[in-house]
Amino acid sequence: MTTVPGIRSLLLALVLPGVIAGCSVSRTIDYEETDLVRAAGELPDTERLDVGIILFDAGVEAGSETDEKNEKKFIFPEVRQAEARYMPYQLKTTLEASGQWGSVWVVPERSDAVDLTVWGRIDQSDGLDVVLRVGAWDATGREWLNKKYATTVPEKAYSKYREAGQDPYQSLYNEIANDLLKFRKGLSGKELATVRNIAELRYGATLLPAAFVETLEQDKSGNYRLKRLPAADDPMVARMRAVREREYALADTLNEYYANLYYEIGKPYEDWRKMSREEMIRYQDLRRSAFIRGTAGALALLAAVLYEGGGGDNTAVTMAGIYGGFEGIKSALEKRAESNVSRDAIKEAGAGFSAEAEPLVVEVEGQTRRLTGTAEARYQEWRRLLREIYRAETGIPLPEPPAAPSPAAGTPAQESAAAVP
Amino acid sequence: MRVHRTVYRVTLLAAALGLAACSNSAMQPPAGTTGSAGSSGSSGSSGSSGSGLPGGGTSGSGSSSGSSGQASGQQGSQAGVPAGAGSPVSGSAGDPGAVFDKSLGDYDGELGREREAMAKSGQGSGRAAEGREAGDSTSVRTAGVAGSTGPDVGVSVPGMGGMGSVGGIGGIGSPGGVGGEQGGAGSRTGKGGSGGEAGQQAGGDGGVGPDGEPGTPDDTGAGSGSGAPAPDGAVGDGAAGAGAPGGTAGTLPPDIPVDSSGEDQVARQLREAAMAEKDPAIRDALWDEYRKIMGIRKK
Repeated sequence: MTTVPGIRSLLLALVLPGVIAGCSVSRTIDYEETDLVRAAGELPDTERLDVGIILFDAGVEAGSETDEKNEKKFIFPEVRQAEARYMPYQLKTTLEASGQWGSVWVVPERSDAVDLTVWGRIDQSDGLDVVLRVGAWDATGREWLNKKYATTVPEKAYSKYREAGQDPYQSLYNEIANDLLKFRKGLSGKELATVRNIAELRYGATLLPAAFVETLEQDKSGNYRLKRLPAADDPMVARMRAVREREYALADTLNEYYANLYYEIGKPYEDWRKMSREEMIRYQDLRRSAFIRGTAGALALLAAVLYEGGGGDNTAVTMAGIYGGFEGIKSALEKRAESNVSRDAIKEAGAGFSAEAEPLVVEVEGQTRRLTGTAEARYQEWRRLLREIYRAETGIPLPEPPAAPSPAAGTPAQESAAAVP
Repeated sequence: MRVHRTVYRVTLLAAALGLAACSNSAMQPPAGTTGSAGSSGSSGSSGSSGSGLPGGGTSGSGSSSGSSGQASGQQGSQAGVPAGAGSPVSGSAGDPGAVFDKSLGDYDGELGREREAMAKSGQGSGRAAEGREAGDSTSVRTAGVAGSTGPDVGVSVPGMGGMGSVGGIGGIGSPGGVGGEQGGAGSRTGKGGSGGEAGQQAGGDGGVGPDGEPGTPDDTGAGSGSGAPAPDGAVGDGAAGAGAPGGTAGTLPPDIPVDSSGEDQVARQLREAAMAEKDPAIRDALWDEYRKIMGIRKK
């Protein structure tokens, strides 16, 4: 049976470390730095894959832009929208810097013109902690990766003297790039060639199904397989490639606009992240400290009550417990008030950067829609012309298909979006 | 194939620039007019050369339906579908093959003009690369300043931020680099003011903040983002820079000693930057910082 001195000792053992820990408002941040695996030399053409990185999902629930929940989680929708465009571009520059890939583009939606599609969702990004969900699928439909990437950003990541072009979240981008590379290295040259061929033929099938659809088949899981390759000198293949080149040219142009946004918001975005990181650390520390102090104070009060109830006859001990308990709770309230200052600072910084980023995002969105809209009209025209050419060359009449999505703005974006949990 | 693609793109861009340079009817209507295909029927084929398709290998007899007389100017601008000899779809202006080629060429022109307009306005990745280079060079130039002096003397940096941002406004600099890099300090101080804005103001009124690492709320009193002269911010007399007798580029204000002995590295760099600066407001701000570091009371 527990004796009164035993209870006392137990309570003291509980309260004292809590009080001591509660006074501390610092902590060590652990992080792992990942270096980018770069190509030792020029990559052979057989290993090059063209990559399309779809604009990330901002991770903001639709219709919740003004939701208080976002505020509580320190999610600023406009900031996230900017990040959803900035992060893919940073990943693009990372993949390009690795020298392990062919052309890399940021694309507004999934495109069949690329061999590998990468897509991500921002689960958290506050300058201190960043969590991304990233998936990658090749043209055959094979999933390369679909995982969560998380890191805690060290202070040195914001150093002015870090390597040029290195984002504070660089370690995360490097990790993604390395994972993609690891998967690619696991594929044989033949498999990579198949990916490229299927990408090309799938693109062709979006333009002129009659000419290309027979070259592919889908297995039970929906992945594409190559049935046969068209003749190398097939003029329709050449025309398809001509159109695909325009798709690349469009992507190049769009990426100029994304580059604009990327460089425009680069510095303010970093400043925001840096400030947010510092305030976030302070906020979290203060909240933790407040919690510990409050808990310790409550325990001290409880200890005093138990002591008194257990027959403790030393009034000084009881009073010390009560006094300590009240002080602990009072201190907790003070810490909580301090944390509110940090919280407000985070919100203020977020609002400031939101105001800066929003017009830039709106502008790049406008340009994207204008360009893809123009391209869409062109694709419709080209599809019609290709059908006419096909009919003239083969004598096979083709019915007018229903309005199909363009390769530039294909619906499969939703397909891949849905694939990412 | 990738090499071909790259060459092909370069060719397309060059051709588009050529198209844009021509001031006659070869210019296509603005993007979005899909009806342009219809006009190709009347323009007739002038039989210009077509560039080979990537992967196609042959530079075929792609019929160009551009305006007559443009053949030389538009070389390579058409898709040059390698339809091969006797292809039933090439050669006549009204057939789908020719229209297809024309449409591809039109689209190339549209994208080319788009890219050209971006390049002219200093947008896109090229501008960004320039900005980054400028930023890097400024970082290198100022690294010793901030590094050797610590937060207290970091006040020199926002002045430089002003340089960058103002340069950006004038269209000659690259805000993404210099202004972005250094204006960030101003942004921290302004708390919500953009790096660019802060940089501009810092250049104008010397409203600057410390270049200390953490932008704590306490450091943020300068309010440089608002454009108001920094009354008392972290740098004290930052606002006094406006209108200070800074002289002209390459000359010394009267209160600055010609003898530069006794200057530390920071002061020397500030002196050099101020001497080289053409913008009077930025120059004044730089001289103010110089005075502060050297303990010179402004006259």
